[in-house]
Amino acid sequence: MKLIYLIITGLFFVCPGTYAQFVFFFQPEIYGRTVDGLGSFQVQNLTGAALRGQVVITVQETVSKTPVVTITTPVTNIQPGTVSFPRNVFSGSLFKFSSNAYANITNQTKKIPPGQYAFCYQFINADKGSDDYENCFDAEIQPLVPLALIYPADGDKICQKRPVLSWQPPIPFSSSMRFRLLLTEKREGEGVENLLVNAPLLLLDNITTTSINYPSGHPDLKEGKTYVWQVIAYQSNVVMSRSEIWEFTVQCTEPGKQMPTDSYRELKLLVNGNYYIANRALKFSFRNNYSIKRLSYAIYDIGKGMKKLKDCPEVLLTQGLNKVDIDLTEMELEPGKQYLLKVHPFNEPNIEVRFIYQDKDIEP
Amino acid sequence: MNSMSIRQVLGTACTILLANCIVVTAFSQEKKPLVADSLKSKVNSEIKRELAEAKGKLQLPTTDTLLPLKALKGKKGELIGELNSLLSEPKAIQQQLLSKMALFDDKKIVKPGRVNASVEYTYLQDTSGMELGSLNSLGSVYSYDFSTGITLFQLPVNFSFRGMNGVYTSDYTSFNKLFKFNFDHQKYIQTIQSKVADKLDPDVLTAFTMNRINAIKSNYEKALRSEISELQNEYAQKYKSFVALPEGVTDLSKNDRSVLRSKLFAEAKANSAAMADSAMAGNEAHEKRVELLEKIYQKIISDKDKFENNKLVKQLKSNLPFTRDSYKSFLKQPGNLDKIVDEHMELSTIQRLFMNMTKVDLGQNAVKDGDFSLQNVINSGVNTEFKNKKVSGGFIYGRNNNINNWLQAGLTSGVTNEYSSMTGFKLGTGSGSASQQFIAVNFFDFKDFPQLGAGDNPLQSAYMAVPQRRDATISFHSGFEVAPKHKIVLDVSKSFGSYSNNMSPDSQAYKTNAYNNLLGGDGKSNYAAMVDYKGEILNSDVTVFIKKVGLGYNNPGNVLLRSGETKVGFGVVRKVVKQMTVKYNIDFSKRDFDPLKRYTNRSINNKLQLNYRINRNNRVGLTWQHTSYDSRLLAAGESKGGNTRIQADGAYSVRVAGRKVTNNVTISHQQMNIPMLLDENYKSRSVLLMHTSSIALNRNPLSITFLLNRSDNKDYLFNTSLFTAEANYSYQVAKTIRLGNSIGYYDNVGWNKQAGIKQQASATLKEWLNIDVDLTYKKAVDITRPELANQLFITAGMHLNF
Repeated sequence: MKLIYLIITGLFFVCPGTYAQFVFFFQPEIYGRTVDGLGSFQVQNLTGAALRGQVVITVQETVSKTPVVTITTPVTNIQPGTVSFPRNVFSGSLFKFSSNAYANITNQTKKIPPGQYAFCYQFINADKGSDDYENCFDAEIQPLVPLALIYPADGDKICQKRPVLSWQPPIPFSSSMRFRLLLTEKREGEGVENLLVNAPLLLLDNITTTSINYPSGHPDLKEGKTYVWQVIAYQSNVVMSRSEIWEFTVQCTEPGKQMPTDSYRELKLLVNGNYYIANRALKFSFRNNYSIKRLSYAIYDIGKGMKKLKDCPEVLLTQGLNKVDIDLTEMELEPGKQYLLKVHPFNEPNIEVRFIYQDKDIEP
Repeated sequence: MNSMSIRQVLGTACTILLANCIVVTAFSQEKKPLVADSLKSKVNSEIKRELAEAKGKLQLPTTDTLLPLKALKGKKGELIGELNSLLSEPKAIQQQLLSKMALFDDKKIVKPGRVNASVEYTYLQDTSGMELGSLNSLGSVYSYDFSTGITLFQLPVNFSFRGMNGVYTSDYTSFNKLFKFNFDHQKYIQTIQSKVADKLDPDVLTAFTMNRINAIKSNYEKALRSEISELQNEYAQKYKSFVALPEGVTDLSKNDRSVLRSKLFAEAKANSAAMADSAMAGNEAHEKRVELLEKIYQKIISDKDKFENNKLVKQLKSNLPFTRDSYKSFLKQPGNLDKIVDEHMELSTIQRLFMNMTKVDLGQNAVKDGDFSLQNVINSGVNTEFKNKKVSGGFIYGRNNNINNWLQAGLTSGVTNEYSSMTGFKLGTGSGSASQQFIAVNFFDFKDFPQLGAGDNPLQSAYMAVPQRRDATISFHSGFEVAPKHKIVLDVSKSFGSYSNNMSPDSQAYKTNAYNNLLGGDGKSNYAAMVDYKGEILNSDVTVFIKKVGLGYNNPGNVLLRSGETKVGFGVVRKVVKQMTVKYNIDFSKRDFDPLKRYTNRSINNKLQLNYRINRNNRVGLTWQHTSYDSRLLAAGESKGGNTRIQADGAYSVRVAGRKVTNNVTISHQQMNIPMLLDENYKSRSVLLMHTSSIALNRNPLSITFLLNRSDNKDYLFNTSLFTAEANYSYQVAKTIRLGNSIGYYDNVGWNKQAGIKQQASATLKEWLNIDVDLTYKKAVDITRPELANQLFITAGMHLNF
């Protein structure tokens, strides 16, 4: 109810003493928040002739009775009918700020601090002796706790390819408020750049709620990729609040560890050496003289009485020389402990290699 | 008046900068790094010093540095010869060191690098207009990205051009293009590092120092030998037999004393064995011989100690900048490379200058520069930074290029008008300083342009009228370690600004305008400050910060700063046991919106995260997040609200028929209670359950996902309850082509039940050409809202590398 009352006051309340030949229209709840916004008003000239004059806008905080600013526009012609006041004319205005806390803050930040205000628009006719017109708009300018993103948190790693995206709306939240959300993949550069030049993956407008399910009509997000997103809130086509830019990465499994880049030594040569150190993987070359499809091998834990390890990764072979990588990272080996690799080549004696497991990043 | 005020501002800034500079230089002089000192100057000064020292020692024979020289019994001529030989060798090396090598052999001015280009096309069928709202005329988007790295005068630069057709179909697309030209400082330094490592033998750098040490050593050895020979002669005269010493016993660099001893006495034993029959136990010659050897041994040991404890030798050894192995990491330390390049390498002036140009960005580039500086800003212009050992500086100038048409199309920005152009300067400490400090001044100009209005195009982003204005901020940043693992960052900033045309001399504003006193001013309202601590306390990573932004503080370079806010935060991360991590963050914020403090907002935000990792495939996580508000947003009264989110997620793996199945589960609950305008609260509640299983079949991944969301929202379609089941399988069909198929069922409460397919194809047609196509189609099987029944989404991309 209060809102409706305020809007009615704002739009149609006309100060006594003014004859409605010349009327100002101004929406203080939306445009009264900033000094620049004071220039967004309409004038209705019902006199039937063009009027020449200037507009004087005065803003006063009514509870503390402090004058804030007086803006005097240059002299301009106002044609008959209803028009938006020309922005270039307003931009050339003279701004006179009073000397008090409200005025200082308004001057420094361009924003009008919350409070109860009277915005008075006065038309001063350039022709001496002609009538001046004035409309005043009383409104409470409310503070706005800005929009803030909630989930997925900035820098988060999530395992959801169609996540819920949620945010805290500007407070006080109004039912006429709408949100627009933009999400895109983060490639090179900062988030702000990516949001600007990448094609949107998700662009939803007119959102009425404070969270969305990633729509099923859109392809799901991809593992390992990073996404940036931002939400804005608007009301009557005016942006009220912008969120920060956050990013998250879709990651369900820990990324594979970097594998060593050593060369492949002949398996038989490894036998002659001492302990072979296997950093995350066993790497060797192996000649397959027959058309065997899979490498037949096993790994034993020497420290646990030659216990045979389960679930060795499958190694596919082609005929001829093969470069073999056995990824050990998934086998839960203990770094520093000794293991035995037994390979059973077809029609040849077994090859046994003792090795020590290691789990270290390689310096570039 | 305006320009004068700016001059004042600049004047004050310069004064502060100057003061800072003096501090910086003083500091950097004080903390002279030990490594990589100028070899050339060292050569000269050391030689001079040593000469003086040596001469001084000749007059005062009691000093011990050149004690062995004294043993030469004042044979002055010989000693001078010694000194000359000591000097002549380093001179040769000095010569060698002074002749510079050309670092870059290649004389080409321009060298092209790799070219990457990609084109992407997205088509979205949004028949309902539900998704895109005011943008629904937009059916398809194409975007392109072209980038290449070229080398200009050996300087690596990256050039890129990115853009798209944008929101507007034909006429107004300028804000959707980014053109960039960046000097790649990191790559340049890496190139120089590897070139230096290739061309300049580390032994050459250490040779001089090593030669000095060896020269001193040989003097000691000479003295030692002459003393020994005196003892030998004495013995020979007395006992008519010569005691020969084994090779190398006078080498003072040999370390093992027991080896030395056994070597010496082996000689004695061998001799005594040879004369076993003639010489008895009481043989005086033999006993004296052992005595003599013992004397010689003691002599060698004491001379060895003297050599090793020689001050000059000690100093030289400590100045050896690196060993052969640590050469590369030595070059990586800031400052060292500069030194070595200056002394041994030939570079053109520009090539040398760019070693310290840490940033040269032209075109449209994002700027991210700390809390009270620029953030989330795209500067269209130039941004440069310079840093050497003593000082760093920066300059930025450009127009604003922040308008995001995707987010702002059709809307007027009422948050705040954005600046039109910006100029900034930065001056701070160099890489040689232990603390990092800088002072930055940024000026923001606001001007009105007709195109900032809505114009005729309803989709254009619009701004309100922009009366001419200039804002400025002056910020001081200081980061330092109070102790190892305890870092403090301090930021202070002041903003000032006013409308340019409100300066008529009779106005009240004229008398109190913000420019008039930069560092005084009315109250502290236009200040912002922040103290941030990061460190390790009781084996936990701790962060604490306090941030206060004055009500009158206005920084157009970072619009997300909240004026009037005081915020205190605390965070801790601790590994409880090897596998369990606990993270906890709390912050409290208090914000006053107006000078009379009638409108306020307080919020407390808590976040607790527990993570238990069993291994790579099995883990459990728990997150609890809660925010509560207590605000006075209407003159009328207080309102309270909050939001809570609880999430449990985890991964586990099981074996099914010998194959590993990896599973991911997420359960979350979210609740929101937000104060609204009309004495009501907006409430929402939702529960989400998701389960994904993946398995490798013939090395190709198959995954099945279930998603269930229960929401109390019934109006907005993309937030109603839903159930989704999807299966996805991707596989290789030929060496160059990979396909992905997926089918799914989607039950969206309030709109439709749909069945859908997704087809993905990616192909490497040539080594340099890659093509990806994604097609998603959903067909309604049960229609509630016909306009959303069937949906089609296509993306296609082409990537070229050559």
